[in-house]
Amino acid sequence: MVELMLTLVLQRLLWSLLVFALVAVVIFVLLELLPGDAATAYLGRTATPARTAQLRERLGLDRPAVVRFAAWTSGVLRGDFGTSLARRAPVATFLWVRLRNSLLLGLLATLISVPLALLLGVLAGLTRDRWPDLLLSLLALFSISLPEFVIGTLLIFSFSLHFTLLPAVTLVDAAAPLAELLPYTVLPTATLTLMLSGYLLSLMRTSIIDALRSEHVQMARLKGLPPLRVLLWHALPGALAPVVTASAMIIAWIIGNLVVVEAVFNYPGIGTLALNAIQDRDLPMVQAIVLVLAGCHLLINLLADLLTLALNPQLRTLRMR
Amino acid sequence: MRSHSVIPSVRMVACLVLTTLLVACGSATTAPATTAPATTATPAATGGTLRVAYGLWWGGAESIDPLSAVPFLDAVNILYDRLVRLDATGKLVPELATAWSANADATVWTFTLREGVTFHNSAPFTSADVAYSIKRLLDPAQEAGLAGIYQIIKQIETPDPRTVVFTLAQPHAELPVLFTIYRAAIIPAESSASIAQTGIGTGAFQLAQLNPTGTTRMTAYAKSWRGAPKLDAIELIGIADADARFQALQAGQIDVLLETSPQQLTALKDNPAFVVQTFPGGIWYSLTMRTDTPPFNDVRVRRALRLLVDRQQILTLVQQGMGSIACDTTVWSGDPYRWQGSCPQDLAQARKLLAEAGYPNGLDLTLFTSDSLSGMTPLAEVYQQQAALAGVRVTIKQVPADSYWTETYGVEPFVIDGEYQYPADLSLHLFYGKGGGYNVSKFDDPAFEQLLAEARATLDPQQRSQRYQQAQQYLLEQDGTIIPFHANEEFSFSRRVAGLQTVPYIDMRWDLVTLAAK
Amino acid sequence: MLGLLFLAVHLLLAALSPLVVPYDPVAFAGGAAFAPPSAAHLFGTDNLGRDVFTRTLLGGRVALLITLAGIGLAVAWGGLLGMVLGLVGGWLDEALMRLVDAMLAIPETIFLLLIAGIVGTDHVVLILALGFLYGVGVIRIARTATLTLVAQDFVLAARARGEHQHTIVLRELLPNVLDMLLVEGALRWSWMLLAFSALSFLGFGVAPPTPDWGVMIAQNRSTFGIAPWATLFPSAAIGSLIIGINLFVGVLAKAIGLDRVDGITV
Repeated sequence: MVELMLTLVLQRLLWSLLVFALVAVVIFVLLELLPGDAATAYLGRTATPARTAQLRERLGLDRPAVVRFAAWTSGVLRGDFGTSLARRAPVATFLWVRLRNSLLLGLLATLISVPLALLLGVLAGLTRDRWPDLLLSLLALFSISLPEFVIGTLLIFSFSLHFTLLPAVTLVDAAAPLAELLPYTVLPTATLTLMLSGYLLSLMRTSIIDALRSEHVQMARLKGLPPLRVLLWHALPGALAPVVTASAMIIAWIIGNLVVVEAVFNYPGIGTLALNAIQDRDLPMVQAIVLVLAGCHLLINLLADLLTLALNPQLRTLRMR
Repeated sequence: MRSHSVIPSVRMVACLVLTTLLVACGSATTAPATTAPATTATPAATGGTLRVAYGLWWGGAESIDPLSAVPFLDAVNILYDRLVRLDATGKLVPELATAWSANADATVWTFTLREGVTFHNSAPFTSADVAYSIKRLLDPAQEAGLAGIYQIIKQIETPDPRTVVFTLAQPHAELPVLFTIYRAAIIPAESSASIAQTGIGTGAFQLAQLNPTGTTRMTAYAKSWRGAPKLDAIELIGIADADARFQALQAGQIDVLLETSPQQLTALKDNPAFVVQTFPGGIWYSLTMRTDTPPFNDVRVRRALRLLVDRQQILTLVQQGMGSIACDTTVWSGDPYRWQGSCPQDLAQARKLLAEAGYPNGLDLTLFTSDSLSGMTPLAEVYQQQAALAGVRVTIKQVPADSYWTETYGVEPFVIDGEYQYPADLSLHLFYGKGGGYNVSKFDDPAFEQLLAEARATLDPQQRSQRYQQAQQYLLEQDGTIIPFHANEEFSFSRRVAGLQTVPYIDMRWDLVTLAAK
Repeated sequence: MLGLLFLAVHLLLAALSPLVVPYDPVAFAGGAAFAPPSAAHLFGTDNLGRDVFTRTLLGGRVALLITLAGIGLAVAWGGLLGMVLGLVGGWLDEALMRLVDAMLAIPETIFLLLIAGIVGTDHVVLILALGFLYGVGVIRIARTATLTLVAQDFVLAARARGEHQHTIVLRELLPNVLDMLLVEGALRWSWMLLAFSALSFLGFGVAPPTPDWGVMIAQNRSTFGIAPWATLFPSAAIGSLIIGINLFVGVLAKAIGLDRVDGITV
């Protein structure tokens, strides 16, 4: 049994690695497909033949694509993501500290919204079509329908400008210690929590309603088991599995798309780094950021897969490929 | 103001140098020992930490070496003193020098230095420090590109610790003016290698923590020759985004914002928690043509392209009227040497000149701009509309802000520029002189050089003024830099702050500023 | 039904607003800057003195045009490819689905910003980029739906008759997958609208001075405390549109018995 489990885990890991390798190829090919190359993109309208040729040579763009891909991947494997064109320093010096700051936001938002939304989702499911459910569903509808920059702006106005309780924009350096960064994470985290909770709550609500309708739960009820026991032992485990998978996808999506929230709060995360890099047309930087974020995405989904496996033994065989 | 993204890379890169409000005023002889600049400071409060937003113009590469190519302007102004300074009324006032005088033909200048001044490391300030600091300005290898301006200084002697004697290669009636800009900061002798880390100067505040992208903290220097400053500390907080700076002010995260856009100003006007301080200044934007590149190498084309400009409309639309009209001079309206010409729009004459130059059917041009400064792209857009009236078809190419100052400005034949005011003599040399560091129009004209040299050598203030004005008039006829207006200085700050003077922030005396308790 | 109403009003306004707006949306001298709502300016004026009512009415046109075209493209190519892959199976299916996994791992906003930043913000470019990106997600949905169908009698029968693959896709699968694709398409349309407004907000979508909700919010939010109307009205406009779509999706999904838990998987 343990061996089977181990094989399964290893299998998932290998699949994720394969997809990750594919991501590297996809990013590289996408950038190749864009008109021009890193040199012409960076120099933009100001490119003269001489300057373009000079930058091409510096970046080694005259080599065939395959060779460049091999050079890039072997660099990445050694932790060398190349040199930023705009910042004229190794990409890695900016990448990790910004990723740290973004993951802090993602982690805080997840830790708050998952328990909160799941609890409220169950509540909504249990009080289906009565006022707690209607109220919660309405809130969820608003939270998934308003753009994050609207939510963020409203929060800034309420808590920073009207009541000056919390900072509106981040005023510390990207490399500041986490303790110094924390006060500035409150409003971005609140924005993310609102966004996440809306989705998670709706998911949990639907899932618990389905579970309560299932034969398995109906049987338990017919046996006359106490309602709380039915909920905790019979309905919830089945309802959680799909929510875990879907939540992971949403959280992974959010981590990859922090750009807007970070921009609203001037937060020094990987999203604002990506935005600056794109404004500067700094392709080596963009390439590295996309790869790292895709890696996070895959990792989060992998963890969710493993969690589902652990939660629900029956799935192990079903989901085997 | 129209092109607007949430994180505009508002970074002014190489060559865009913000410098001092320098009003060259005539009297270049001796001055009284101490004069405090005009101030509105109330003695109500002392102490506290003042938080000032810093625009991160160099994206975090800032250096506190006054001669760096990427100077941390605000910090340089606070940490170091200059020999002399210009006050809010444009008068030369003593700083580290208490008196100065020239020989009869203004070729030898003697400066007497202040007694009892110490650097932040407690070392005494002497003439050796002055000689060392000014020699750095003469070094052709310096990053600031100012060596050409200071080349007239042939020799620096220090007969005693309180006296410095400058011998010039040619007469200059207003040499002290050259020492009023922040670049001429006095640093300790032999500190070139370490100054960018230590920031040791004689200023009223000393460096406690240097972090341009975060918080740079400077604490009161109790032994300052001016006496202890009123504030306990000043913090410069780096915020690259203009909107974020404004929100930080509104949320009380910072106390002072030194660059406010006309729109932000309108928004703050009626808010009782904030004070808005605007006054005429010399920030200017230009459309600059390279006079060495076709079609701009034909003076008729250059004249036509400036005759078609409706300056009042540009001032209204780009700057919401907050500024004054200029006739293509870099010398600002408060400068005694400013030429007050007029330059009305004349579309018929513009068309005629273009036809004479061989463009009877108009002309196609490409104008380069970026979002580095908020007024640049609107200026390009309004000019585009005006040029169309004279048959000139302008295509606007917007380039990323980051690479604009390094890759586009100074390279392309037709660009938008944005610069700071300098005193007339410095300004005309820098922007139009043969060796001028910021001569983007590549103007190279012996007659113009002659006028500038004569002005420097003339000891009669009246005649000198005449030369400088003739030089500006000559530029309007010959050069390729169109400067439609000079913008106002616009500060906004919390009502708790008092004592900010009506000088450009780079010349602010922060020791006079106070912060009331909450 | 409320959803349908919201949606109908928005679509109608997008089509007809140029005929009814009271002011020139780009005129700088429309009025005094930051004027509060009044009879002359129902929603007040913005930072440049432009009429917020006019700009809000017009502000959804470009977004609706681009995202409707984009979602149509996405559902068309993603749906077709997904059905084909589900039907064909085998190594092609395996390989392409791994590619889909890889594509889905790439952060969406950054991908869109990159395309807009390098290639440009031309309408066609944005439609193609959005259509391509969102189509990838549709592939997986259509394939999963097809897989449950291929084992059913009518598909097996069609195969036994020796019909061509494309006939099976168009005649047998499409009618059965269509309503599901419709719901998925509508849901993804709301995401696409959010993504597009984010692009505009960040300065990579609609170029000023063309009125657009994302751009309006970006330009006026720093002065929210002084002129909240200039931010609130465009926010309400985009919010009500997305709420309308979401309510509509809910009704649709219920009507055809689709489980929203599966619907949300990216």
